[in-house]
Amino acid sequence: MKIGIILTPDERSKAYLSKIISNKINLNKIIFMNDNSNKIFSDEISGMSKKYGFEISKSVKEILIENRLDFKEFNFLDINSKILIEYLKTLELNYIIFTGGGILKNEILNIDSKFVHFHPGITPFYKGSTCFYYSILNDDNCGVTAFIMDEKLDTGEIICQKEFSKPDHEFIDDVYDPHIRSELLVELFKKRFLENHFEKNKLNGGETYYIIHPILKHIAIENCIKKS
Amino acid sequence: MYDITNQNLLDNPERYQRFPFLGMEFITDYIKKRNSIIDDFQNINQKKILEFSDVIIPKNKLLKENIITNQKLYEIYTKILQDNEFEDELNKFIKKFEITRKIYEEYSKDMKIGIGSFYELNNYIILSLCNLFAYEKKINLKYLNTALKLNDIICSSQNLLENNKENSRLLEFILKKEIEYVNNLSMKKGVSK
Repeated sequence: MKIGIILTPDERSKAYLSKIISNKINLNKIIFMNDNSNKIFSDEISGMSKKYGFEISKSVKEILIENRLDFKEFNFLDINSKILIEYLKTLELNYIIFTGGGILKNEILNIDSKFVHFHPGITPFYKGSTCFYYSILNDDNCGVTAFIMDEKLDTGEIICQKEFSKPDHEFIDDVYDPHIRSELLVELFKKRFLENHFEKNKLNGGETYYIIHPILKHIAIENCIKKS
Repeated sequence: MYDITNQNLLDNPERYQRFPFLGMEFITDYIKKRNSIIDDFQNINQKKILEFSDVIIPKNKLLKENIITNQKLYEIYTKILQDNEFEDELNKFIKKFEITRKIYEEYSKDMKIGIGSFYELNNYIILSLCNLFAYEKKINLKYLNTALKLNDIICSSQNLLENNKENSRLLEFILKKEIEYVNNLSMKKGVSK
């Protein structure tokens, strides 16, 4: 089975890559879409990310080079780029780990490789955007679902799911979200979930959420950081 | 602190992407700002509200092939109050609003195309009212979430409300309801001061 990953210059890719390295997971191909964007993080956030096993202050390229990983770099950030699609076709990968770079259109979804997405919510109950905040408010926890991406929103074949406790700090977007997704990524490889049979999600219903309003987000974060 | 509504959100839509965490003061300031708007409007009109007979639907817009937003939202509102199934229809409007941050006067039959003006604040107010009552019935945060965004737009466009007492009356109700639900949720999650 041939598995690859498409990295993007963001916190999620940093977490995925760091956990892949620290858990000695072998990938057949690493692709890096790099528009050279670089976000600066405070020492506090940086320290928190280290606690969770990745270094947010280092760029994806630095992590790749430091660990002497072979990778193919593209100087754009567009998952639907024709150049990228043609390149992917030549690789004949069974699965590609998706980290971001836009919404997958039909052309890229129709190549022979399947795209695996780690979604921050237990589907079908939490589909859509910023689901971890809704999950904290509704259920007092967070969840991640690994699924095969299809043309619809968060409806693909579920590979595996896991619930996580809510964080006790405020750095959810930059640290905790990439962390819990990367934890399920490690589990997916260690437990060889991709070798199992998984089916199209048969559970109907659930809920599609839209990007959370800052007031609800603040209530969720205050709930996480309050002293019990 | 809560400066989302400082600029006209109809012309400058807020996307709410990765909004920074600003602490408890952000929630406190939100309540202060919303109450200040309520106080301003109370000086204009003190009547009790919630009869929809005053929602005027211009007859020249009642075209068979299009969905008339004002009329359809009134139907949804009635369904919510009468405990009839409303979610599929309301969800279509929520989806359109969440993607575009606008509510148009009319929509094509399949809801794909918005037609006419998106400056009719009355439509935002009725949709907010539908979402707040839907939240009350279903306790689904999706509805409170959309109501908060709609109310941000309404608060940011006060110039369109100044000469409209009926909208002012409704605005007072939706903002008070919204604050009530936010306070209840805060208390439930143990984050109120």
